[in-house]
Amino acid sequence: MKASDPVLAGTGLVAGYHGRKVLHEVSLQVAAGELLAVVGPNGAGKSTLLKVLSGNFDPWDGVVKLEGRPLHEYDRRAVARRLASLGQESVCAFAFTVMEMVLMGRAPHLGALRLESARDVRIAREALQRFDLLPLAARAINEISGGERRRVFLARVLAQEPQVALLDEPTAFLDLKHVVEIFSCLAQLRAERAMAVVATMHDLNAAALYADRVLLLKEGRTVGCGRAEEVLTRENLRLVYETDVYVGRNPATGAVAILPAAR
Amino acid sequence: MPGLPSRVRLLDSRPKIRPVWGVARGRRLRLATPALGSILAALVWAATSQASPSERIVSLTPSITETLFAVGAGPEVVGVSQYCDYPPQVLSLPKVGSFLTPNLEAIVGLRPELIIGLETAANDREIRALQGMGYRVSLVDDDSLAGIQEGIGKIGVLTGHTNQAQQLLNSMRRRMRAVRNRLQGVPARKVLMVVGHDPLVAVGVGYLNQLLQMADCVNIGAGLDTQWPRLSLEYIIAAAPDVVLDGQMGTDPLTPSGFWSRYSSIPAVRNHRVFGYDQNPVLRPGPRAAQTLEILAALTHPEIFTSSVKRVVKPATTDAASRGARP
Amino acid sequence: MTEPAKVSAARAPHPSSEEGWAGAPIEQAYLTRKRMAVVLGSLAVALAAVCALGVLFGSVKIDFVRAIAQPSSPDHAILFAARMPRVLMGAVVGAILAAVGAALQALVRNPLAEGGTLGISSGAAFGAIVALVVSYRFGAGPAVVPIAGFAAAMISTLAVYRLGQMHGRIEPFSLLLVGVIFNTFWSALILLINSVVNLYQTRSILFWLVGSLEAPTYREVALVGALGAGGFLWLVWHARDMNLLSLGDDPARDLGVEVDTARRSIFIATSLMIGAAVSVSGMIGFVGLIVPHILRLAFGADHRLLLPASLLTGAAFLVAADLAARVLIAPGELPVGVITALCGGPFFIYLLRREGHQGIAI
Repeated sequence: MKASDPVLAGTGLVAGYHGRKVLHEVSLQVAAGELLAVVGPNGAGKSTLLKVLSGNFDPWDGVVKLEGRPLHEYDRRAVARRLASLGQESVCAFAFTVMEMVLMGRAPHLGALRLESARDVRIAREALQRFDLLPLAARAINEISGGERRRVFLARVLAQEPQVALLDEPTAFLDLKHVVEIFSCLAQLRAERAMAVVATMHDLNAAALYADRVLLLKEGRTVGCGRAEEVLTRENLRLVYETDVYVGRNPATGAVAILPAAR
Repeated sequence: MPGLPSRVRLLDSRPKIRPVWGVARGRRLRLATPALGSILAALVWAATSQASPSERIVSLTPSITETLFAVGAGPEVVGVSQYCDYPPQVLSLPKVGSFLTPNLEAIVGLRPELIIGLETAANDREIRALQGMGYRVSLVDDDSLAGIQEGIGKIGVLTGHTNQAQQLLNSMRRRMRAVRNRLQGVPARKVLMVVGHDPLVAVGVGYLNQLLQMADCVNIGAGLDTQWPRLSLEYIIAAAPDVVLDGQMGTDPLTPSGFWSRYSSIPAVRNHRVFGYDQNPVLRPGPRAAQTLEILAALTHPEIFTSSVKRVVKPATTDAASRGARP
Repeated sequence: MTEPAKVSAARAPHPSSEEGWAGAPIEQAYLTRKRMAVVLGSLAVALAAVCALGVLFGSVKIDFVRAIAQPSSPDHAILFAARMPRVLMGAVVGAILAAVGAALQALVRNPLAEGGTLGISSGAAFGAIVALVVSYRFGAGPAVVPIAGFAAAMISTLAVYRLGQMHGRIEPFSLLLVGVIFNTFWSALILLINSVVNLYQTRSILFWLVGSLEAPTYREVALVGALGAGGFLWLVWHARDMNLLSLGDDPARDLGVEVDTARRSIFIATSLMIGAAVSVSGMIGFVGLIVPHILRLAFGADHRLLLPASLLTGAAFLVAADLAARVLIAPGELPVGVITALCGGPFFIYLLRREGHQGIAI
């Protein structure tokens, strides 16, 4: 059981598009410093869930509470100071530089007309440093590769200094080295700042390895929520992915390892 | 009806326009119509046979329409351009577009025997199309005084009203000569004549320039060699005309005279010699050229034509507060 | 703690994909107060210089000594009653058109957007013409015209924005297509009115279609200037929002922007500005396209710098174009819209081809 109150909690969330229900009373919560992985097949409603949690999508039913208060009681900037979101962004229309992009993460903390202060610049530089992006700082955002761009957006999330980060497929387009880097960075942040992370992932093994808890969804319904060993069982996975899997242990890390059972 | 080479075929294949009457009445009328029609046709033919070779004339431009009526061929006009409004009778005549965009269907529907248009490249295709269909098309020029006078003569011949045409020409020439005589020895005045000041379109070379010269004026818009030059305000101020004639003030009673009063260094403005004129007779070339000349002379030399000044629009003084925004 | 950022007068030119630029100093990579001051300062000086040229030259040579010494001389009248207000009006209208272009490009996330290409200027012109014709008939006051222009601009902007969306997202191609269609539509309506009014009003109406800066008064300059300044301040207030909006609606919201409010504000402000400008000068096109694009290449895409820079540069651009319009066929005049179109047409084509190569979402 949680020792502290959850920093972000969604209760009984029901949401959909044009009469088609996508989320059927999904509940979740994440405490400070926790990494909650949301996994499930395509169309399970993972992205929608994140949008509802960030306040970008109004649910038909249910309530999202940020730091104990319902989301709609905050104004947009107040939410943005506490909660950062990384969606599946497309290319920007204008050639902002990497540094400008990351500095935009400081926007919720600044007034309408104020330019970024030295402190803001420092925070942005540190974020760039963590994700190994300093050499690219002056490059235009549309000139760098997809993976580099992803890291820029993650750096922006970092610069935003949120309490909770909602990341939609944070490791998409990233090669192994950077995947490991991201998660170790996130682990550091969770330790330093008690930043909570909710991340949707398609990679079950990464979820098992890095996440504190896992939420497994199928067609908008919760199949299981808890520790990786408890949720990512053979029965659950066969139910959700409709395929037989082998669930074992990664000898190097000791984490749950999931492999296909048949060719 | 393409490709009709002779008049006979034209009369036979006239469009059958069915009136919206009751069927019974329609049948009776259908029996009566040929009889009545032939009697009527005989009467008309008898009345006009020796007078005019053409009974149905379509005019494509106001100057031609005015000329036709002025030489007495008015009754023969069956269609006019959309811009024709003088003499007042033409307002009720069918409209056939303008010399820029003649409406071929409307023209053909009137079964004209003579079409009179302008000698200009703008309607070349339509004119050739009409000629190709077998219609008689005559062209006149109204770009210059000489052209207008020639046109009057030509129309007189075409319609068989040569006497009236000659009388008209004589009267025009007489009136114009009278104006010139009165202006003998009078020093020329620098004049700016504009169609309007919003936008600033001046009168350049052409028919009006000739009239202005006859009225003993130096037209500052004539230097550019185009008919409707867009002069810059700076040039106008620098040229310092003694008289300004502004057509926008004449037709539009709401136009404030405030526009010109902003530029009080212009002698015309300083001496209250900014006059509006009625665009309708003045900008129109045609048989009323003499009248236009008299108006221009009266406006530009008011001290010589004192009695006529009362007939034209009151001079614009520098009184009206500049309303600022464009009207 | 890093040292305070050093300043460079202008950012390094837009980097190509060469590795060489990867090492550009980080101080050049974002907007600093000093860089803003330097850039805007230089642009202001350039604007003053261009305005001076615009006053010194014209279709007629004047004696400046006499113009200032003798208030009753024609030189004085030419300088102060004809040339000066015209240069000022050119600056005000150019400033408005360029700033609005930058704002619209942020709003629809597309560098090809501006009042002209989206059909908003022609909508405003149509509104103004209808107001003209109606006020002529019914004797309404002259203030009707800019108000009608503003209202028509708003309707136009809304319509283009709504129709240019597919599945709730702005598709660049649809947007530009809708803009072309609206341009054609409004122009057709204008020509329709043209054909039913009397022959002598047609010239006045054709003036709207090309755009010119003829014979303005100081009062008109003040009115348009006031409206433009008000609208511009409103836009500047949302400059950071424009930066964030260009990332997309959801990312902008995630970063704290009230997207609907910001968008509505930008709509209203740009419509007000365009309505005011078009009602005095007709449809002058391409200023809002050329100026922001060049400035983005030179100084970066941050709207907090781009907006005021567009204001200053747009003013200079139009004053220069008007100078050309006044001088080229002196003592006759070209409408200034002709000059901007001659510059803008080829530029637009160049933009279209370049954007395609750059991988920006077109």
